Amino acid sequence: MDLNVNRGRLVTLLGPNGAGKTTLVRILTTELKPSKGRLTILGEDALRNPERIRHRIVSIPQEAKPIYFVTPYELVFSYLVFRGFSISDARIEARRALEELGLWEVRDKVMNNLSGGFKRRALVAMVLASGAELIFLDEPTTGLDVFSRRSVWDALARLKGEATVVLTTHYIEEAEFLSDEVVMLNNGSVVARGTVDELLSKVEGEYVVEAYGLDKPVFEGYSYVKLNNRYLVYVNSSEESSLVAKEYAKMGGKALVRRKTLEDVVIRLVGGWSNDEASGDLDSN
Amino acid sequence: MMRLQGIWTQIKLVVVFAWLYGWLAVVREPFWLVSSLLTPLSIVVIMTIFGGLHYLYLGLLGGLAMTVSASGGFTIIGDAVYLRLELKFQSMLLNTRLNPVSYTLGLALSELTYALPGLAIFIVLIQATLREPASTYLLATPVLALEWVTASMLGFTLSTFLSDVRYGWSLSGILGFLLGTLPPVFYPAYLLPTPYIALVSPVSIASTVLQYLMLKVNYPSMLIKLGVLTLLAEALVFTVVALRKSRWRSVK
Repeated sequence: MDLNVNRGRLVTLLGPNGAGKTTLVRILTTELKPSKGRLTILGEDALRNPERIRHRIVSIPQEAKPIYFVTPYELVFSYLVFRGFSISDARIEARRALEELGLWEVRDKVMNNLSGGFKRRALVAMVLASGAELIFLDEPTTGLDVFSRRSVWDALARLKGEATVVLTTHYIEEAEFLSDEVVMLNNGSVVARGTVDELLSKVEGEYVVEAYGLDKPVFEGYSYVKLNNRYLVYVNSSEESSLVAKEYAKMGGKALVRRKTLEDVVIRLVGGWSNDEASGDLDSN
Repeated sequence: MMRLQGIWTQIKLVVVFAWLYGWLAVVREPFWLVSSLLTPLSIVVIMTIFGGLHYLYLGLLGGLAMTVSASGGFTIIGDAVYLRLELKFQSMLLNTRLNPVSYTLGLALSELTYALPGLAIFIVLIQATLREPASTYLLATPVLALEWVTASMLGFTLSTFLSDVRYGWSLSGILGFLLGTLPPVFYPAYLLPTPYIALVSPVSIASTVLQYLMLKVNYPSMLIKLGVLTLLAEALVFTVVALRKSRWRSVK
């Protein structure tokens, strides 16, 4: 794997389960020592001198949980003191971060009495308040409802340009909304990288018809892939997609139409599709 | 000057950690306070029932030594593994100013906070029965502090090699028995073929020194000197081991 991330960018790591996203993040945060390779973070040799960069980066590991008997305020405040903030600065920054993430109202409630969304946001508040130059967030919004996720997105969007953020997520809309750049991983390798638009251009068409319910459908003239019992047909316009969906429904199947997303790029690039020479279409077989 | 400032910073972090993980736990879940007291107090009660007053004294001193080590080394294992594997808290602290030693001391000070009522009960009982002068406590305190540091650093280092939270609780119990009950902690070392066997465990060293100081047990002065030196060496060695050999970072 050869990966450079420029300062001030928000980079999202995408890929299926087991692609190596978390392992990569653990190496980048200096938690996990790789057996070989080179790692330069913020201009420092992170393998030789991890101590030099540790106070300049922060991370929330996947599945991290806050201590259950402390409050969001106590958690953020103490973390900031551990980071080297003075007591008075830690108080100010803890309040600012909790307000930003909508946690100020519940600042004095112990974690055990808070929902999973509040707990996760308290962890995000911890790292956002830290003022670190480089932030690693491993699936920070997993388990959050639509409202909580957006408050995290807003907080991350505010950081753009100030800090470099490396994010892993399974939420495609999160990656599309936030990322300056997306890196797609599979089996420990980078399979593609670029802006959202650059990656979207790797899949033909603008719309996708997801069709299911028929065994051997025919999508003549269209590119499509088969995913389990579902066909994803790539078309260029909204009108075309309606036409394909109607035809399919006439044959007795069911179809829905949506815009092309990064999910289609993931499916195309890491789904194991091969080119079917006979039809000129893509098929999983 | 920079070095002094660094040490002061680490002390501040230790205290904040103890506030977060010790004090807040105690004020919100006070039932934890009695748990550290139960094992040593049970042994004292049984010893007194079957051995009478003399064994009450030995039991109280052993109980004090065991509570000090339990408030660091043995219980720290379970909590350290829990924080590392279950909460991933150690991973989050990797990018802070805490280092393995200040993290361990913070954790150990948290455990000591839970154990304070137990320690207070033992000290009150010892004072009520033995009526020791303050100078004896002045001599005993550094020995107990060394025992606490040794047990904590050993406990943390071992915890970093465990891969499952459940192993942490088991290892705590096993260490408690091997280092805190089996060697001469609750009984005098002179009952063994050689009293120098007391040197095998930091807990039995502390207990033997306490017996020497408070019960005036006739141990060779060489044993006491060696005991204190061994404890000092163990505290230093295990601190260096915690700093250099513990798995502060993951290996897989």
